[in-house]
Amino acid sequence: MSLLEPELIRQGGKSGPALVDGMPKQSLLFKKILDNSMPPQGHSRLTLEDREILHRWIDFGAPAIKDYERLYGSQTELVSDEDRDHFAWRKLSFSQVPKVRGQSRILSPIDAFLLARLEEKDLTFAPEADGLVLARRLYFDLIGLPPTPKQLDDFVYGWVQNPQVAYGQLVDQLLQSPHFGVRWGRHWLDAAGYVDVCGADENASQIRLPRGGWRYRDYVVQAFNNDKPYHQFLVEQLAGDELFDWRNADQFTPEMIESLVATGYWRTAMDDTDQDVLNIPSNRYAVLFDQMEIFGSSVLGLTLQCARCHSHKYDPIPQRDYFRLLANLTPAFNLEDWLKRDARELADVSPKQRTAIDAENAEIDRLLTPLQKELSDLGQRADVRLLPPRLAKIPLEDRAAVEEAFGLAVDTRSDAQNALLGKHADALLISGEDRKSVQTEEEQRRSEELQGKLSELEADRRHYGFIHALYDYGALPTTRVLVRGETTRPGRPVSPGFLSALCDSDQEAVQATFERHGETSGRRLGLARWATNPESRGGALVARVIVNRVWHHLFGQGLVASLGNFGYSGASPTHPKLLEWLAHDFVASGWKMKRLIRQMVSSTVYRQSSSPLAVESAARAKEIDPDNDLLWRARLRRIESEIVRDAMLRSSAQLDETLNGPPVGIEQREDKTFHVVRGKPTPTSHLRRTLYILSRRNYHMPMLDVFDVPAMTTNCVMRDQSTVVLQSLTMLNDDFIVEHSRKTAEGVAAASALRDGQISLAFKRILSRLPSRNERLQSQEFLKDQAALFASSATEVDGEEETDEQRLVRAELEALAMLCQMLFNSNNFLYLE
Amino acid sequence: MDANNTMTISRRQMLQLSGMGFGTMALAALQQQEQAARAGEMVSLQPRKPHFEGPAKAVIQLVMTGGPSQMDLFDPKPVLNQRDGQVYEIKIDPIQGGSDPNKLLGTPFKFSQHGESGMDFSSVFPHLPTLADDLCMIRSFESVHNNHTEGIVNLACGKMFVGRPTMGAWISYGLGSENQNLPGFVVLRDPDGYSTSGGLMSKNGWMPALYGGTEFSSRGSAVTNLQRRVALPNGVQARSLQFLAQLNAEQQRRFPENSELETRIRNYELAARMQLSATQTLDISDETEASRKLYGLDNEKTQNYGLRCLMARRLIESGVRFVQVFSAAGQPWDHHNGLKNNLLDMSARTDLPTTGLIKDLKQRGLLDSTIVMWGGEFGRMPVAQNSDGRDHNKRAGSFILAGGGFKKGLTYGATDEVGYTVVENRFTAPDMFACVMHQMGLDHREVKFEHAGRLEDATDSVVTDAKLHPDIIATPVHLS
Repeated sequence: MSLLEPELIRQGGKSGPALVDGMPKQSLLFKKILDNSMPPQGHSRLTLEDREILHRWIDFGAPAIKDYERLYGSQTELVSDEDRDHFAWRKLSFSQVPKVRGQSRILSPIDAFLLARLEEKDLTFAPEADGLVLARRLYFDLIGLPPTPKQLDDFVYGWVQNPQVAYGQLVDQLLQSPHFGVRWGRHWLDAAGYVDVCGADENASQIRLPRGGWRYRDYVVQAFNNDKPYHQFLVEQLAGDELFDWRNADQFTPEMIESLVATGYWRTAMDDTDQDVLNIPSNRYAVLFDQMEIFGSSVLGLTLQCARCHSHKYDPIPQRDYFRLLANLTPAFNLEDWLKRDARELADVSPKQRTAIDAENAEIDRLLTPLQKELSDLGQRADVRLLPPRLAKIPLEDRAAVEEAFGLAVDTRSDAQNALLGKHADALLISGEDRKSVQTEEEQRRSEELQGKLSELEADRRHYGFIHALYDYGALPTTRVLVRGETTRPGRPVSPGFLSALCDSDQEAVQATFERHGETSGRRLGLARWATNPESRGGALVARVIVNRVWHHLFGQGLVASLGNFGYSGASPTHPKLLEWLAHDFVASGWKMKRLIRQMVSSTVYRQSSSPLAVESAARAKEIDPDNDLLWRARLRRIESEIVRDAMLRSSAQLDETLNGPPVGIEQREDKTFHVVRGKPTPTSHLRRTLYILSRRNYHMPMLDVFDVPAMTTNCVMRDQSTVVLQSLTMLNDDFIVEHSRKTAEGVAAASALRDGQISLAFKRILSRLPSRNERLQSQEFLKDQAALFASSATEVDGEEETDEQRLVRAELEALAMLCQMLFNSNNFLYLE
Repeated sequence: MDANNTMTISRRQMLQLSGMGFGTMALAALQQQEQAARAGEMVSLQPRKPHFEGPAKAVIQLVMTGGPSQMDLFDPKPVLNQRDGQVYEIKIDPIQGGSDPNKLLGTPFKFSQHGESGMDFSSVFPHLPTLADDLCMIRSFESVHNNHTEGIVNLACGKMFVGRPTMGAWISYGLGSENQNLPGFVVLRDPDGYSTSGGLMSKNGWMPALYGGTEFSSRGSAVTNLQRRVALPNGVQARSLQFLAQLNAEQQRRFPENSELETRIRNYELAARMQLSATQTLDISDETEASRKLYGLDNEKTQNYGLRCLMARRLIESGVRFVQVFSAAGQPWDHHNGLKNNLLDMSARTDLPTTGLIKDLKQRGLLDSTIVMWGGEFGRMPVAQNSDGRDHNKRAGSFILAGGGFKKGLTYGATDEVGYTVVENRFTAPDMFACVMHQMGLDHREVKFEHAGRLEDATDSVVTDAKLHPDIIATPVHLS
């Protein structure tokens, strides 16, 4: 046996393992020392102090020496001030707006920071983009929809009068649009990992929805539309349940409901613990680990999960700190006293009201039961009379058993009997009419009377909705470091706290006092206050992470390119001073998102052209800065999957603009692809924005799938941007695009009888511009050729061959639909110039 | 470091600075990949040179999720039958309920030795043992987690954390594809549903989606949206694509040298080619009666999985790099109870087609250049659960590698007397990466992709300590 490595001691020798992690008294190694059989005779005994050290070491899970010092050593701090001195982790500082030569190009302080860097290389911004290009850019960036032809005309009219004013007005108008929240809400929901379903979502045909889960999605959209300050937005999501004593409230105020709904942020991870076989410790931990990862990347911009099994390999995040953070969550995710997923769903009325309502409903049930029984018996007695002709259809071997089962009152049948009757349900089908025909008048009268009473009673039943919330419950649990991240190996207990690297000292990283409203620990509220305190390193990081993400959404690449990693292994900021200035300014002006977005889109850098042809010194710029990190022109950006679909709905003028509410269903077709359920719950609900179509982790509509809608295993802080062949196939062949190209063509044809007018309108609707001369000629050629091809194949109308005139009209429309579809297929549609 | 300076240092320079040693050829290959890795640019499936000559060109991964029981299939443990029902003195960690505390469970099957190599097989599989002298049997596969999801992610990604690219993604990234008309990584799942967490096995993770698995269906249209539901008159699509090219050319003039736009334009030509290519590849009407029989297409029990095995061979023949075949929906090898009947049922559904596939590859001369992997995320316990089943066991399981230059007729690694833990030649999922990639001519430590500002290698070798096992390799070994 070898004592060289903890692992070898664990393996032990002939007498079996010599170490039981966390249990010194059960460990052979320690037992032998206690009973003095080791060290062998002739060697000096271990001192008490040595024993003490050994005891502690085993107690802590016998980590290897290197880890031991890093994890538990008390002599040195685990995180040094030098560690803390990282650009993203410093406290916010004010950075001076730089002086630049090209003052005429400065529309916002942002421009000065960028231009200063460009001027260092003797470069400058690209000229301002064309008005129509800017309008399309703004519409997609701010609301995720193209302008209607009318909106486009209005803008152009204003632009011709005064471009500056028209631009500003358009920005204001779009920020006020309710679709702003739909667009920006989705960005946040990505970061939070929100999908409509719960659990791992592996089974294509099984859709499991948490009750009231969608209310969190609506909360986020409304928060953006109401311009809720970001720090408040975070506090509500992290600890909305700890802001009020809702447990003892007579009734919930709208603020309480809103705050409780906001905690849905913590309920986005896969959680299948409502299925008993999956309600095991490792799965409970998995929920907690996923939520930690989501919190880390969405709010802190850190890869916290790396510090779960061992101290972080790149960042000064000891494993201890991971579990300190995790300890903020355990009062609500109590591993020993676990609330199964469905049991967490909270009523949207106060606990007192819920008790009262449940009692009233129980009383209704009490009154209902005998009436239902009587009605059921009346029916059953009639059904028996109807049995003989039906019995003939039942196979002989089951007949006697069916007859016996049928003769019993419904509530007295055994499970086996019910199964038997279920098996022959088709043969035994009895309609209400059939039943009436064999009932006496008295029986019929009584049945109707009973039905009337039942619906009267049902009408009195009171309902309440649900909230997919997080809240503390029960006794405070002890949170322990897991040795090597293994859920079966709890080690030393830790106190709730923050990351030491994001605090001025280790003492500060432990939560000492708690703000408590009602029966709750106040731990998450402490976490939320720390994360939104602009004076703290944590708050500074949180501000940097969010302004950077907003920058990414508007400019196509973050100032820090790794949106979810602001640690040592993340990307360095291209413009550190600008990042600092933006974060500082954002915080100083009240964490307002709309203000931040307006600030960015009003800058010269946002408004410049993306085409290198517009840049005089493009060749030199390309040589100096080939990746355009300095932003000497705007970036060409592809629109996201949902926006591809939404834009088509806008172009075809079919969009149902209804916001909020439970998601519209999706269903699987025979070919295994998913599609929106048509006409349910409303005739046009399948035409709603994609945000309101049921979102799953693994199963998506083809149009979304190919354009990189994330498979939401945890969350997504940055969408992929792939360029794959399936995209082309989908844009050529998918039913959705075929249908909406056709609808666009119908709309265009209805608005203009002339081919030329139709071409113009199609371009306007789909590409938000008019065709060039060349494009117009090509389009005319195309329509002519395609109409001829379509006319060459005959189609039947109402069972008869179409007339020549019908054929011509059909062919022209089909050609126009093809034109529209090719416009949707063009790079021009898919990219924001 | 001054942030301003970082921009001027290229990644290649950084690599050179950090003194990573590799040969000229590897550097050339790496440079190619580096170019490929630049976000949004040059992402393609063009064939790329391997780091060194490797015998294998393609991989077929037969995925047996749920955790096949090693002591009932491949790893005979006479002690289990001698001591059936007795309490074992070494503590076995139970995971789920229903476990009889430490009560050993004998196997209901007889073991015998097969082929010249004398490889052990139980009586569960009647067909596979006929290939004993072609297989490399790993008896020392060790997983990291007792949950299916973590186990599957570990098998697929080499680490148990969701988010990394899977083996198929790394390989199609590392080598590209031989056929530009088909995806490099194709997934064939049971059309009745995903395997539990099976979707996680074909993810591109933080790589471009191009490298992730593309699902081909063995029922209905093989590729989603390959054709329009209502066919267009002749000539319409061609004319439309011509018009589209005109529209795109107009825009392209404003954005010269933008490779993403170029790729998108090329993809439309490719789409048209793929409509033909995929249809031809997956049209099995030209398969002979004998070959249909070989894959069990003539039998209701085997035809579901058999068709996927046959499609896998056709895809490999067409130059697809990595094909993943799922045995069945759900967790088909997860036998917590009724072990005997459940194993026999899975054998009846899969044994013949699996064997048929390997035989077919062999007779076509493709086995030496194709790696066939057979296995699940972990093994099972020596003790009883629910009286006649076994619980998950991350500590030991068996895994088969065939073809692609792996040793034939070799039984590698060993478990303890009851099959609970590995005692010899521990073989982990990252090791599997290292070995499979090596046979494809790739050094797992040198296939790199930049993620979140960090150059990641295929196995995260610094953390996972992924190792090559030269003893299982018959062809030249490249150790660096």
